[in-house]
Amino acid sequence: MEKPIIGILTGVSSEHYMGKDLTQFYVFNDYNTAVLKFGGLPIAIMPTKQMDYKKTPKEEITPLTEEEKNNLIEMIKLCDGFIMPGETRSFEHNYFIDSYLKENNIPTLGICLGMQVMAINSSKEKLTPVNVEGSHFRKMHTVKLEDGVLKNIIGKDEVDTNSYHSYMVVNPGEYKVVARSIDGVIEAIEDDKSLFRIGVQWHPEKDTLDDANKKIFEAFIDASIKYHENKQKTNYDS
Amino acid sequence: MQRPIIGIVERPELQTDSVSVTCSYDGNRASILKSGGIPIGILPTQPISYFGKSPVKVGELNIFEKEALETQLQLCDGFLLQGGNTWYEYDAFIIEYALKHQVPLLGICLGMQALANYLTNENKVLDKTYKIESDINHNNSEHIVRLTRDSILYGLLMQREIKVNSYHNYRAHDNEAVIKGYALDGTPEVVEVPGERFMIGLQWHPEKDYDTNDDSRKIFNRFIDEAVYYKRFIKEYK
Repeated sequence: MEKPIIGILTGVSSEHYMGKDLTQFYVFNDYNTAVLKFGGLPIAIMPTKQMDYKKTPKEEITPLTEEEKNNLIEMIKLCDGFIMPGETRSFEHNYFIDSYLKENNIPTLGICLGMQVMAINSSKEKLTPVNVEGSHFRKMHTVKLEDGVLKNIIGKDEVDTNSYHSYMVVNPGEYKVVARSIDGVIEAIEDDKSLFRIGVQWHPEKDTLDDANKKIFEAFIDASIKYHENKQKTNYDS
Repeated sequence: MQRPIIGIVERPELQTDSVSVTCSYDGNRASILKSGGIPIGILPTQPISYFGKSPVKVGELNIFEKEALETQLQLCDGFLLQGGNTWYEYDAFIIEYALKHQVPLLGICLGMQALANYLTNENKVLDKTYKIESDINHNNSEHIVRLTRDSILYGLLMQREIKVNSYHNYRAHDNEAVIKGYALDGTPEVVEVPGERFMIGLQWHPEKDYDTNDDSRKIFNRFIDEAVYYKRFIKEYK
């Protein structure tokens, strides 16, 4: 059985390398490791604008051109599943990619900012700072699951998760809220009409020994395998 | 026709907050896009993490890791071996794959040294570079490179002597069969696989001055043209 290709969107950074200030597009090793562990093949997806993503001020960023959009689409077409990872900043391409993935029913796992992008793309509403400052940053917390695909995947009412966010989603748009922490903050959303479209506010890739996180990745990879098999079938039929 | 997919071999890095990532440098992404290719990041299929300044000793690729890497490589029409600190067995695996399937390959800085090393040494992975001792400054400078008459690069650039940037402290060993360009102190600067259309390593960084340097643009344009050729005439007939 062929392994599914999983696209991971890169973040932008300009760490010092050999004394130089170089803009780089990176993937945290944890995402890479998690995809491999559960049977996927990870590739890194970079944005396509001809600009310095790190240094260009927000006001000067121009909208994506048709060519830049088409280049993104060519990259996504290689993928059977897609991870929208945690990061501190989002660009137009985050939302463009999310829309394309949703329209084409490509299995998508949104993590932290990735989940927030899903919600904002649907509700068009900005994020709100977390109600009690620092209460969701670098902490563990208990999350209660509500009926839905995610709860069926995890098989429990309640899980303890990590937490690394300072902002929260208040309006999930068309998505169903399927998990909240005890203080009421939205911790997971899903679209149960899609093959796999779940966003979690925590970081499952940081602890794949945990049962719930394992099950999330297994379900994601399973969906990606299904997508891959359907893709093969239509190639043969046409 | 669809644009060719260029796999950038991702490099492990340690960010300042001690989180290990793999990344692509912006110049590589931007240059590939500008010359008409689609860049994707080839993420390592084996665990490579930093705990401290230098990367953990990485073991040999096992059979599953090799299979996974090979599947990633099959997506691509060309490979770019980036600059960095160290190369790994996966670099040698990728070079071997490229040679076997005649995939166009561009090695930059460290990538050039890995390619030169592969062609010259019995142990394809062992780092056989040595520190430069010379009157010519190779670190954060510019200098002349003299190309050999039979080099592909001379044919492409139509000049025996070109001016290049330079950001390295180490150099590959000489080997007249494959080294096709030298600095005036004898330091190898260009390696070319004999008889191949485009499997080239450059000790300098053409992606850094793509916008201002005709030679850099010609190199990337030729690389992408060769990836198109591979996609149209070699890949599909296997």
